[in-house]
This record gives sequence, structure tokens and C-alpha cells, in this order.
Amino acid sequence: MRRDRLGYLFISPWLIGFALFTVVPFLASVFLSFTHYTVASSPTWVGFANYQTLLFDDPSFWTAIINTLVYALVAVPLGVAAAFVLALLLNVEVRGIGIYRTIFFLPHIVPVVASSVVFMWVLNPQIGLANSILRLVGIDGPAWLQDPSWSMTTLILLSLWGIGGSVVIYLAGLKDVPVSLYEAARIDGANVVQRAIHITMPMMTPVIFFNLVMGIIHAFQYFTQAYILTGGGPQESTLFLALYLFFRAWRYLDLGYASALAWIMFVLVAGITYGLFKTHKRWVHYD
Amino acid sequence: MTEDPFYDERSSRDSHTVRLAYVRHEAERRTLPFVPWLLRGLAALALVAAIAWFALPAPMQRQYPERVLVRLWHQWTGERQPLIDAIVAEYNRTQQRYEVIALAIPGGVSDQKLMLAIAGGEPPDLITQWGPTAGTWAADGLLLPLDDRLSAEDHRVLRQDAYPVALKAAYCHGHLYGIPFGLNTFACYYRPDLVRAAGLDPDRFPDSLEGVVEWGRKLDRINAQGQLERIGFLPSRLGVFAPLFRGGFNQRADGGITIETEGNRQALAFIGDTYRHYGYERVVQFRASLNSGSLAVEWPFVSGQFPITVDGQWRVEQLATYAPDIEYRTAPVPPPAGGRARAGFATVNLAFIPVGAREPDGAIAFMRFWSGLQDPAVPGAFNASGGWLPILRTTVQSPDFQAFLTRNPQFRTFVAAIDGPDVELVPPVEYQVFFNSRMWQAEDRVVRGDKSAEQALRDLEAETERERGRRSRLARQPATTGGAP
Repeated sequence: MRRDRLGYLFISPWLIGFALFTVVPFLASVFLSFTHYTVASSPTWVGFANYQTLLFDDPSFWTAIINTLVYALVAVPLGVAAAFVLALLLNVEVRGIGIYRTIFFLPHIVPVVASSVVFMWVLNPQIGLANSILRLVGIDGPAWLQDPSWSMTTLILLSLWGIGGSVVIYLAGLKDVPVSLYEAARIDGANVVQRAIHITMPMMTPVIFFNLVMGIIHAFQYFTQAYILTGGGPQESTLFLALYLFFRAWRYLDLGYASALAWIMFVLVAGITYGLFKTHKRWVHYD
Repeated sequence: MTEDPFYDERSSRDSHTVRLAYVRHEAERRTLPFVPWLLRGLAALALVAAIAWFALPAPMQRQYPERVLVRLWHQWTGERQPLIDAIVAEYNRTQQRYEVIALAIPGGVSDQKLMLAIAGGEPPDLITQWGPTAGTWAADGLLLPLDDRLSAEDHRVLRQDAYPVALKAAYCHGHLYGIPFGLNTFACYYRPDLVRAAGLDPDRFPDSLEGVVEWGRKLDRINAQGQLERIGFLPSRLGVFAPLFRGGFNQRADGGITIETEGNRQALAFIGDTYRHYGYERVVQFRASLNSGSLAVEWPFVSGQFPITVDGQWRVEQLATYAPDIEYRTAPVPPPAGGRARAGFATVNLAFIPVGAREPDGAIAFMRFWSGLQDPAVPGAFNASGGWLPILRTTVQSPDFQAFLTRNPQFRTFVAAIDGPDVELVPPVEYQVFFNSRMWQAEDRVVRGDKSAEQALRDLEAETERERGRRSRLARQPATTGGAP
């Protein structure tokens, strides 16, 4: 009993922080989503008006939903696949592999704001590095961030910049695949591709599943790059849910409306995550 | 029992003593070995914190700790911050009651900071804004109404001596919410050296918008790859051009804004047509190669990439300070054929007192000093230092400001412009922030060629009405038609 108390005492800073800064705001936002609230005055109850307006009378909300879903549906699978392939390559034991692994991991630890500002210059349509290189091969590069037909694609491509974190997780998973399985397959005459499809992939599905779930959650929280690089534009082409929530809360001073938006976002993420968990037994293999 | 290493032979006869020794041992055993080290670490941390508390300077340096503290948040950072510090220092020097401490908050985050400060019960006593936020902030209950905090004499001075646009911006929903202390308006800047080189006479600046466009075309430069190297004249900011076309965005009697008017349509079409002439893609590429232009030395006008441009009066002071060798002139933005001469657009620097401010009286006292309500001659030097237009006509006549005008004759264009009969602004309606943002988006859609001017204005009207309806449903302050008296 005494040991239990001691344990709780040690984790109490975290427990208190969790209660104060997560549980209480979480519950408060449920209440606030049914109010009109600007922090300067007490919340006034408006019932379902915030949800009603969001769902039936706010085109920007639907734009944000579609943009976020597009990003989640394209950027997350792309990131998962790219990170997996990269991990396979970085799993090959060649000379200097540690250096290669470090190089691919480094972007992951570069602050997002700093890398976004750098990319703002790299993607400058006139004097940026990207278009300068394209010009060398006779291609007139697009206005990556200023053209609505390119801005989403650009952000999706930029999402690959930080896949180093996922790569490390895949690498750890790859190291966990029993060598005996490969040896047995080799004896049975399986070639590299067959071993990858029939051993590596199935054995890695728990890790892929983990990265997929985390990727989806992060996709719905996608904010920083869009805020810095495009501000939701041009033409709301990169207006994501988290960004719209931020604008509604802090630019238009409507925290009740923003809370309702946050809850819709939460329900969406929870629904998609639940859907993934429902299907995972069919394709995720556990030992 | 004997195998127990803690068995005490001497006290074995005394079972009570044995029991006590065992209990003590158990307590020691259960105490985790790192606890003493943890406690020592915490003690060391507490010591370091205590030393830091006493050794490091306080974040807010009080020069006059015996006076009443007035906390000012303003938006002027970088090269402009010392100007505000000088104004504050001058105020602190000239009276004994208050000490104003200024804190520069970047404009882009000032709304968030203010809301958080209000929620935390620690708002500043005064916050300044140059963007159109008064209507929304006032409607959302962030600001104290100031009608009763200013004296009858102050109100009289504002009514009789202030430029009308200053009051239009400060009054929202029938009440005075802001104290104006500086004005910003727009005019044409042009480079005589480049104009001459293009075979034009800089002494005969066009008196019509069509003439300016014609000059602009002669000043364009396109390189061998077909890229723009210089755009003679590229209009932007619908709010600035709409009044010249007999349009404008004014508050209607029902609380809405006049949006779908022929003047606004023509102004928006004019801006869109210019972009179409150059090709939107090429303009984007050209603009992306330019610096932000917020500083004088980065301004594309200085580099000659925009030899004719429409910009604010603050550029005059910036040019005098940072690019004194540039030959330039200013001229009113001329109207189009059939348009409205001397019509213009302004933004107003306003100071607000947030709800929960501890020293509203001190804030008012300081703002009376800065705005000129206390002595209209005083802010002449302040306005000159920042390149702002005074809000009072008397201040314009003050020796300090007249000396500034003598040194910077191009500034007179703006003094004349702000006194025009049709100087407009983004009306301080309760959805002002939303409208301002959507107005920019409407212009953006037209210059991209995504929408016609008609369609963009129709959509802007619909979006605005939708937002009004939303606010109304959420039981916000109802739309009122109150404005400056």
C-alpha cells in the first residue's frame, strides 16, 4: 500500500498535469461547443447552433474537411510506403550504413518551422532552388505554393521530408523479424521478392498498422506547415481542419464554434481509427 | 531465524526489541535507494531557482516604481520599436503620476495574446492596432467603451479637429471604443529617373487612372526568357481603388455592407484586367522573387521593380531614413474616367482599453498625451518620427510636424489626401475581421482569373451575409448602425 502511494507520488506531477491540461480542457470543450464564447464574457448557451452552422451553413468547413481527408488519404499512405521502402534500403548492411541512416533521420529532428521557412525559399517560383533545377532541364516549374492546383500536392510532397521518424520505427521492426524465417525460405528456394512479400511484409504489418494510425491522427492535426507556408490559401486550397479551427478561435474570436469544430474533428479521427482497428485483424499479423 | 542476516543475537531474548529492529529494517528496505539522491537533486534545483530569482533582472524594468504602472502593448517591432519607446519615455518624463511600460507584440499574434491575457485576468491596460479589428473586438466584448472616460472637451476636440475617418474607425456599434492616434492613407509613388528613361515627363504625372496604366506599360521590362523584370504599375487593394470608382464598402442602415455595387465591380475588374494583361502566373513568379518590402531597403520601389506604386505615407519617412538618395515623387491616386477625385482609403491607428484592464485611467491619460487631445502640438514630433498622419488638423500645423513636412515635401500629398471628402475604411461592423479577410480573398480570386468581378462580389456578399446570420443566431450583439456622431 505504502509502495503504491509512493508510486502515485512520483507520477503525480504528470497526473496533475494530465488532469489540468488535458482532462479538464477536454471536458470544458464539450460544454463550450454548445455555447458562444469569446473569453471576454461568460459562455452563453446556444444549443446545437454551432454544429448546425458548421454542418449546414459553412462552406469553408466542408472545404477544410475535404482538404484534410485528401491530405490524409494521399500523404499518409504515401508516407507509410516511402518510409517502408527507405527502411528496407537502410536495412541493408553496407559500409557506412550508420551515416546513411543518420542522414535520413536528421530532417525529422529539424524544427518544422525552420524547415518550412527554408522550403518557402526553395519553392519560390522565380528564384527558388526547385524551379532553378527544373529550368536547367527545360521545365518551367510551377508556383508551388501560390497556385491552388499545386499547393496541396506541394504540402503532400513536403510531408515526405520528415519520414525519418517512421523509418527508424520500421528499421526496429525489421530487426525484429526472425532470421530463421528467411533461412527457411531460402532453403525452400524463395527469392528476394518472395521473401519480402511473404515474410517481411506480413511480419511488419503491426508496425505498418501503428504508423498508419499515427499518420492518420497526425494528418487530422496537420497545421504548422500549412500555417507557415500557405496560411490556408491560395483559395482555401490548403485550409485544413486544424487551421480552420485556429482561425475561428483566434482570428474570429469564436471559441465555442472552434470547440464544436474540434469535436467534429475528434469524432472523425476516432471513427477512422476505429475503422482501422476493425479491419486490422484481417491484415495485421501478430506472432 | 538465524539465517536472517539482520538477526540480532544480543536482543534475541527480548522479542519486543527484535520486533522493533525488524520493523525499522523493513522501512529502510522499502525506501527506494534513489530517493535520497532525488531529494538532494530537488534541493539543488530549488537553490538554483532561488539564486536565479534574486540574481536575474525582473522581466519588467521599472524606472519609477513609486508611480502607477500602465502596461502598453503595441505592434511596432524592429526598426519601429525605438520610436514607441521614445514616445513612452517622453510621457514618463513629463508627468509624475504614471509609468507606462511598453511591450512590442507582433501584429499577427496580438489578438491571440490579448484574448489569453483577458482570460488569464492579466490584460494590458492599453493595446494598439492598425488593422481593422475594432468592430469585431468591441462586439465580442474585449474592449471597454470609452464614451464616459473621455472628457466633454476631449469629445469636442475629436468632433471638431479630428479628420472624419479617425472617428469613423473609432466608433463601433454606437460607442467610442478606440482612441485614434495616427492615420495611414495611400497615394502613388513614382520614380522620376525611370520615368524619364522611358521618355515620359515626370512633371506631368497622369491625372487619370488610365493614364497611370499607360505610363506603367511604358515602364514594363521583360527579359529574353519572357519573364517580368519590372512592372510599371500593378494595382492591388480593392479598398483603395473602390472609392475612386465611386464604390466603397460602407455600412448599410441594416448593418450590412455595400458590396455589390457598380463602383466596386469596376474597381475589382480594373485590378483583375491589369493582372490578366501581364498573365497571373508571370506576376506571381515576379512577385515571389521580390522581398517582402516591409522595410524600406527591401521595398521593390527602391530597387525600381515597381517604378509606380500605390503605398502608404509611412514610406516617405522610411525612404528619408534608409534610402535618402532615391529620387521619387508622390501624387494622389487619380480617378478613372468618370470616377471620383480625391477619394481615398485609410486605416487608423487605434488604442483600446481591454476589459479587465487595471489602470484604465492611466491608459486614457497616456493616450490623451499621444493622440494630442491633451496638447495637439505634442504629437507633431511623434507622428513625424514614425511617418504617421496626425489625427488632429491642429497637430499638422504644429512646428514639429511642419518642420517634418518641410524636410519631406512629398508627404504633403498624404496630408491633402486624408482631408479629402471621401476617405473610406473597412467599416467597423461586428464581423469586420471576417469581412476584411474575405475581401482580400475576393480580390485574389479575380486576379487569378478564377472568378469575374461580378461573381466575386456576389460571393463576397453571400459569405458576409452568412457570417452575419451566423453571429446573429449565436446571439451576439445585434447589428447596429451606430457610428461616429
